[in-house]
Amino acid sequence: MRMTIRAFALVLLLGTLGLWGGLGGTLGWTKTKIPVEKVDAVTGIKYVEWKSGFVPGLEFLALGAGGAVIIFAATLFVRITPK
Amino acid sequence: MKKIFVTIVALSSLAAAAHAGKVAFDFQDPKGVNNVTFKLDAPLESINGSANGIAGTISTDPETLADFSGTLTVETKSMQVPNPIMNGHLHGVAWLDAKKFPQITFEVRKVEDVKREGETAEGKVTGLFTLHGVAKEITVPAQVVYLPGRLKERVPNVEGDLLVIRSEFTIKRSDYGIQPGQSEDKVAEEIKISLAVAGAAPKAKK
Repeated sequence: MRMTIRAFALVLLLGTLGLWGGLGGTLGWTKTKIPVEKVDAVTGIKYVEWKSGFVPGLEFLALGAGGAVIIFAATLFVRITPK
Repeated sequence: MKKIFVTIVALSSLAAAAHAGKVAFDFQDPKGVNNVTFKLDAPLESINGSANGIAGTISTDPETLADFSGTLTVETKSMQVPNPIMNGHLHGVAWLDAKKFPQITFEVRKVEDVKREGETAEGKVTGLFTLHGVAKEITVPAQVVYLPGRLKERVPNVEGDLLVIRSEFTIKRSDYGIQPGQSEDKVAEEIKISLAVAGAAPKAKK
């Protein structure tokens, strides 16, 4: 049981890191809108168009990794007795 | 009686002459090109956002590009940042309170030190900047480009002129009662603002 929970913690940690890296993670805050810079041909004005997207940030990483650490730590201190 | 009448006519003529040649440019832009960007430094990463809910009218004489009047407004709700939680905070009661203060305005009072080169003029614009319900007179640098006859390139079949205004300036959020002295470790006190807008003056059909 203890090993299963630890394996789950490891999967959670690796999954979080994989998602963070795979989705182009940033060392800033998570973004759900991506600014795309454009230039108006007539006036030369630079402007931003917002597109929906998801770029995981540090809080995403902290949540996943923190959760994995807490689950792993719990297996060290909580007595699990199989029925 | 005759003297009073002559004086009124003379004053009216003077006023008309003063406004002669002034053209009103409308800055409402359905394409969403007109925009204001803002940047706040923060320890984790700088917060960059933009707003495109721009409206208002600026009048000027294209011959001189020296005398300006009018007001530009930005819809507070149109301000956006990439993080959804931060976006909620930005519009919320603690920060900009978009429901109570739906508009940010700049009313032009005077323009000084105008230097003109062709259809481009640069100068210092003094105006009443109202943010978060607090109005302060500020002076900002601005560049104006007059594009005669170019409106039809943006709006097909409509003859007219365009006026492009650009300006960059910095304000302190505490000056406008936005969380003064608070959260400075997360959100910078200084906000860098960059404005780039184009106004349209359609020509009346003959």
